[in-house]
Amino acid sequence: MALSALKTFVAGEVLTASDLNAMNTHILTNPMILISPLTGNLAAGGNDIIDIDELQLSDAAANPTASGRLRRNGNALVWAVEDARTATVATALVLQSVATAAPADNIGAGLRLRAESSTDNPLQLAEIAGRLDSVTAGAETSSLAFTTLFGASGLTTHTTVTADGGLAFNISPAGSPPANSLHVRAIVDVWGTVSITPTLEDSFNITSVADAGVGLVTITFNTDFPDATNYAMVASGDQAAVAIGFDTFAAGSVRVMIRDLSDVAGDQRFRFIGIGAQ
Amino acid sequence: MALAAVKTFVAAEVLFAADLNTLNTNILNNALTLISPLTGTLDVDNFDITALGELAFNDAAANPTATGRLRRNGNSLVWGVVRASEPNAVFALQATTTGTPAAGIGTSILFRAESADENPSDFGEIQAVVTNAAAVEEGDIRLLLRSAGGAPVESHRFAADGTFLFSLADPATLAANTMYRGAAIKSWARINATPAIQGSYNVTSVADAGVGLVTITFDTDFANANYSITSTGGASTTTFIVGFDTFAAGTVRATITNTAGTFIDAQFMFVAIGDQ
Repeated sequence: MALSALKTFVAGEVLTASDLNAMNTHILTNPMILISPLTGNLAAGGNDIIDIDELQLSDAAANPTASGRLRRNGNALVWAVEDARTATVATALVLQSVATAAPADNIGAGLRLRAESSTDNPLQLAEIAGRLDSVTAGAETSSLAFTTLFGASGLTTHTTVTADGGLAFNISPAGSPPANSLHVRAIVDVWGTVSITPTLEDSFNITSVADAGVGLVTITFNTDFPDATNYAMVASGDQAAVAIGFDTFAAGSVRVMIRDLSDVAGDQRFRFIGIGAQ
Repeated sequence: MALAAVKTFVAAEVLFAADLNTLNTNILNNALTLISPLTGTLDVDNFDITALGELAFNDAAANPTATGRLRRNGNSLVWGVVRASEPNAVFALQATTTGTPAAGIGTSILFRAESADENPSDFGEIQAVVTNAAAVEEGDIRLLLRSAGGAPVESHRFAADGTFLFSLADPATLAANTMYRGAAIKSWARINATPAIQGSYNVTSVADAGVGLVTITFDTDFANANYSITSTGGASTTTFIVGFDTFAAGTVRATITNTAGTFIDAQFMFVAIGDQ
């Protein structure tokens, strides 16, 4: 504590009102000096500390000493909890963001990551955001969006993990793809197995198959490709000596041609894969 | 407040200097005891609280009561804000440098739990890393996970250009319905009879290498010549057979023949998969 006594009385001294008042006022008008810096722990006793402008943590160079404590350990702000769980995830940090008005689709909360560049300090570097795609009662659906800086485009949400189990790519990058990466243009968009009938035995993103003549099958996609040229189809037959080709390319459909090695059209069971950018 | 009076004066008592000084000193020397534990809300009035050693939260068993408040609700440290629509960053982690920032600077969140022999045990991390610290900034998000007792290492990366990178080689045992590096398609194209590219991914160019022969050059090469490539012809009523030869990490040659084995120029499509 740093508040010194304003006066030290001596024996036999006449106690004056002004001395007493000054002593009292000295304490009353200097409460911060009286308590700051602390010389021990301040127990809030379950009360709040409010209206804080900024909270500065000294580097304790150690982790929190007990559950429910927050400490700075080097550069890390460490929040520690402990309970009886042994094999489940503890939700240690919650970011809660509610609205002053009626909530609408796409409301959410995000975790922003900042660093520094040659021109910006701090630099808004990346964000992981939880988004409520639908706020409709009983039909709430969420997604997790990953956002990073993308040059002149600024912060760009390029990948979203969706509640239906999907991983959505929101932008189509230019330039050379990084090695061993998954790219919006390198995802299998359709596949299927078609019987000799023809009927669809199993598939992904196929609405229907239709008999278009002997050795000809029209495949209709569920979610279309962007145009008639920007995708590729490969296929093989279940029988030996069957050649399969494609023609009549459209954004939403394609025709399969099945022929034997003598160029004679014939119906056969076949399997196919289609890939492009949707 | 817990500071007890060192003396309680009684009526008509002679006031000694020593009593007065003790009274004064007791307050001055025990300021913390005077106020702690608090018996009401401490209003900091927009000042800072500095040089904190540790901050201990009681379990309020409830969420923050208003915006800009931090509370412990069970095990969760809950930061609450009230705002209107649109997702927004409500929590920011900021790490800057005292030096000159360069590519690689960033900030991260570390996840800790407890293992049989470690308490705490670092098991996962989400890093945001600046990949271009110049004026046209770029960055990515990296996921670090731990395997077989090792330190957390980068397993996946959300790159700034929109690609999702698999940072590790495929494991010996693959899980069902899981996407791995080895399952990612690395190149595809539809090539007409000219030959010219009509649609493609990771193909720099195609070159006429003779009748029925097309050399395909990849943009990002494969690791070696052992990749898989499959093809089908299209837009022709004539049966033809597409094969490949002259495999190299960065190129491959397509061969197109009719059923008689004669080379012909025709449209074809391919899909290639392998390690890069």
